[in-house]
Amino acid sequence: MPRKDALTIGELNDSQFYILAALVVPRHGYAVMQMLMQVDNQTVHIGPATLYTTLRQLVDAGLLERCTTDGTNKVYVITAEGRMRLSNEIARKQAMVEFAKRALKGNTSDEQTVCTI
Amino acid sequence: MNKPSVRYETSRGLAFDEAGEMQRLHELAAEGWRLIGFKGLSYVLEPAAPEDVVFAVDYMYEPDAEYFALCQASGWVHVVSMDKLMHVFKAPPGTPPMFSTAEIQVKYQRAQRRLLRSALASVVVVVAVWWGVIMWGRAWSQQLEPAWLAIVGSIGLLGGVIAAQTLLIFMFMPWLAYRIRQWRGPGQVVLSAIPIVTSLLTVVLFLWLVIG
Repeated sequence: MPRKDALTIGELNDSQFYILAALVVPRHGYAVMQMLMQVDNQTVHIGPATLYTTLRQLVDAGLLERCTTDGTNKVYVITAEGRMRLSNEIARKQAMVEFAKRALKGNTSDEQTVCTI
Repeated sequence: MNKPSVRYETSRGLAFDEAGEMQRLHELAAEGWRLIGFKGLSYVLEPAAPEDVVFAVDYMYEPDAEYFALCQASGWVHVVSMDKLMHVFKAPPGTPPMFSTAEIQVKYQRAQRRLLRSALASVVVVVAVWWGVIMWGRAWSQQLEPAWLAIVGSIGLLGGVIAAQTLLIFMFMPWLAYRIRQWRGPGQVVLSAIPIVTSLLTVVLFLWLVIG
């Protein structure tokens, strides 16, 4: 029985996020891997096993669909629900980043406590 | 001198020393031995041109052709599989690793979850056999008659104990090793104390009941 992971409660993990974003246009799994290898900021490492299991998870969750199935070269594309979830995740991540940026600039309205250690 | 057509090398168990076994396969490939399968607890190797390759193992239950194609696209060529779950791959040195640190944990999680049921079943059998030992020990201490029943029963019980230990080694310990690996990674996990301790415990339990 599959356990409840972040996907079922509405959040996307990093691998799911990158793979969904890479499949806004139809691509082979292989092409997704090539595309992610070229992300040059070193924030992503998605190996073949993770890619394979994540593609299946996203298809099972209805966020991706297979356009063609010619043996080893399956072509995937995002669904309407997948687009919605991706947009929600972008908004969530943007809010996180904004919060952290404000905090680093010292612009939070919270009262300040002095660290005495 | 000609090499023999097939060579068998006993595995120390991929669950227990993955990094060591991958290094061994690397050395065997460099000596001109190509892995072609598994037989029982051994690797089956055949003579081939020496090659400089590194090995990796993944756990994925009944993957389809797309899985192997994706692995190949990332530089890792499928060598052999075992029990529809364990897959050995090879790649030239310098190929990007098959797994990131975070992915390694997920890999052992896949293996561990797949083996959980059989591990629990083996524990049930071990407990059942211990219970049998206790019952038998009690009956023995109360002068079991006739003598042939005592002998036949003891042999049967000994068989049960050996079977339980075997299940423990092949079903429970690999599961435990993968569970430990989720935190510790692919290095060596020494669990040989488990069958020794459980065997001794069985003998002590039996003697204590018979003599005591």
